[in-house]
Amino acid sequence: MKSWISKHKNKIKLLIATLGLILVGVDVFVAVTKNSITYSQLFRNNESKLIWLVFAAGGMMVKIYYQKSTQNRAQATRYFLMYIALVLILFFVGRSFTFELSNPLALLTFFSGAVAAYFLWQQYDAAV
Amino acid sequence: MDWLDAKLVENVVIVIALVYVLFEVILNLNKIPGDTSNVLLYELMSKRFFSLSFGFGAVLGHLFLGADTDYFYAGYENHSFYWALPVITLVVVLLVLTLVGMFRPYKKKRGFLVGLLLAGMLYGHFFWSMNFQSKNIAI
Repeated sequence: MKSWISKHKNKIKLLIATLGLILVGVDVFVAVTKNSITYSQLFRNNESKLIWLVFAAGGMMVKIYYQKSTQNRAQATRYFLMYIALVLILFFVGRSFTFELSNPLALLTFFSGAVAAYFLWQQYDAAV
Repeated sequence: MDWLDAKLVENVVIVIALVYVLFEVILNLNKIPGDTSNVLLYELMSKRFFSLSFGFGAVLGHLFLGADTDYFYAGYENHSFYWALPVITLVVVLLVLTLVGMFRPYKKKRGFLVGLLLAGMLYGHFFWSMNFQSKNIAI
């Protein structure tokens, strides 16, 4: 497995790029032919249900730009489960209540997700 | 096209997200450092494709934020192609940034990339907002 992935790093990149392109392609097709709703409208229609996604998006951005790594596997797992718990709480809050995702609320959720991910969602790297 | 309904679009997004998450879990659990997509994306963005940073920001601003002032008249849906103007502008900006990145592939600083992300969020907020899509008045 290890050598397979080291050898096929380009294929990993290709797969991620393919997923992204399919996602964008479907949206462009839907937007141009106007047959169905686009992702924007999908998000708009379910914005209180998708508040966990705003939180997790902050986390993903921090993972890209400010990734922290740790060598303590147990701690990394525990912290990551805490982060998942926060996302789950927001998931059930969004399911239970209907509210308008106003700009200040979205910004607050996004940046709290970012801060939480900075401290809780660390990358486990084995000691080299 | 009756088969292409809102449910199908929703399911496409969910399936792609699940495949991606599964893939990420596999990449995280193996022992090789630096093969997860966030690391690969950062490598990509710090050299040639720093335009992706702006693109991510624009998508985030578009989905999560949104101003009411309609600079492109994009809300007037019955007015030919105006609804697509923000997207066309975004694609042009991204193409220009990608060309710059192709010809100047030096290593970009993290602060620069985060600044681009925030600039993209401002673009998505002010120029590519969803809050002005329901108007239907002729200019």
